[in-house]
Amino acid sequence: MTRSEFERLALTYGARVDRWPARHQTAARRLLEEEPDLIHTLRGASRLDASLESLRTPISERRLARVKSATLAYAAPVRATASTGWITSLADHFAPVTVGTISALCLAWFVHHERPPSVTRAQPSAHLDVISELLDNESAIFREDRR
Amino acid sequence: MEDLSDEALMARVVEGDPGAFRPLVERHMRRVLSLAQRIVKVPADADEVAQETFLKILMRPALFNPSKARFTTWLHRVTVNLCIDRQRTRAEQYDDEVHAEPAVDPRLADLVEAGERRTALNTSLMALPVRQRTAIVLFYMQELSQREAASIMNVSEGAFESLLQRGRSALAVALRPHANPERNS
Repeated sequence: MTRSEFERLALTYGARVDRWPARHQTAARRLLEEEPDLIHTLRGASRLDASLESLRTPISERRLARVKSATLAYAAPVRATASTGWITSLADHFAPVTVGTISALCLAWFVHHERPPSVTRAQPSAHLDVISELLDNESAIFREDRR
Repeated sequence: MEDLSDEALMARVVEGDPGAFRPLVERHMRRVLSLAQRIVKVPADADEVAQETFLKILMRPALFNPSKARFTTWLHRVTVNLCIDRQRTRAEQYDDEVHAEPAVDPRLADLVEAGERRTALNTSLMALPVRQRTAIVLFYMQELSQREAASIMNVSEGAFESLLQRGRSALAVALRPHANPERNS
């Protein structure tokens, strides 16, 4: 390690050689033993270190408590939402028309089960007509929304 | 719950355990607030950044990958990113505030040297580009290693060293009029 490199490291990382990158520490200590006047470089750096340390303003307990309390208060509804988040994410993954289609099919299923006994599985075309009509209506509504 | 490691608590947060979030806030809020305080310039902004940091953890816990980083490293990274975003968003407003504030208040002219140096240093630190200031804060005030700080800032160790060197050089120059030059050799 050269003197200029030592000085550059002191300027960058400060006076504590143990905080310099590990790969430089041994060489720096060795150079310091060989050229003891480099201690002045470290003393100069330590003044700025001390000044920087003086800027570490402690956070007041009152402020800390206020911010913690606000964070936990905000977090409560987020946690509640998170527990039902899968529903939201599911909805996000489906286009509105798809959701509408699913709704239509559910409605068709409901209509099918509410119809008089005369409409049975033996008459699938009747069900298809109902579903088809509902899907047509849904698509029309969606097209209207898009417009 | 209090005995669990940060990583174990995060695993519970990911699973939706509502009780796992509070211990993380209790443990780390002071450090997050202190970090934010030094990067953004307005205390109220620091408070908001600290809150946003934890809410982001709560809302997007799966972003934490314990195989890639320790929880505290990730926490610092989230905080720093939010600070830098906020700083950029409000850059003009901050500039106005800095210009509006006198560099040296005449009523403080009889302050002791240490006090003057501290004021000058604080003003100079806040005037640094945000990435240089972040490097200074992480290394000197949060006492993180070069490697950890570089990881938090998502830069190489060489790039971090450059940011640190430029930041510290600027501070040393700013302090020269205060009769205490750094380089004394």
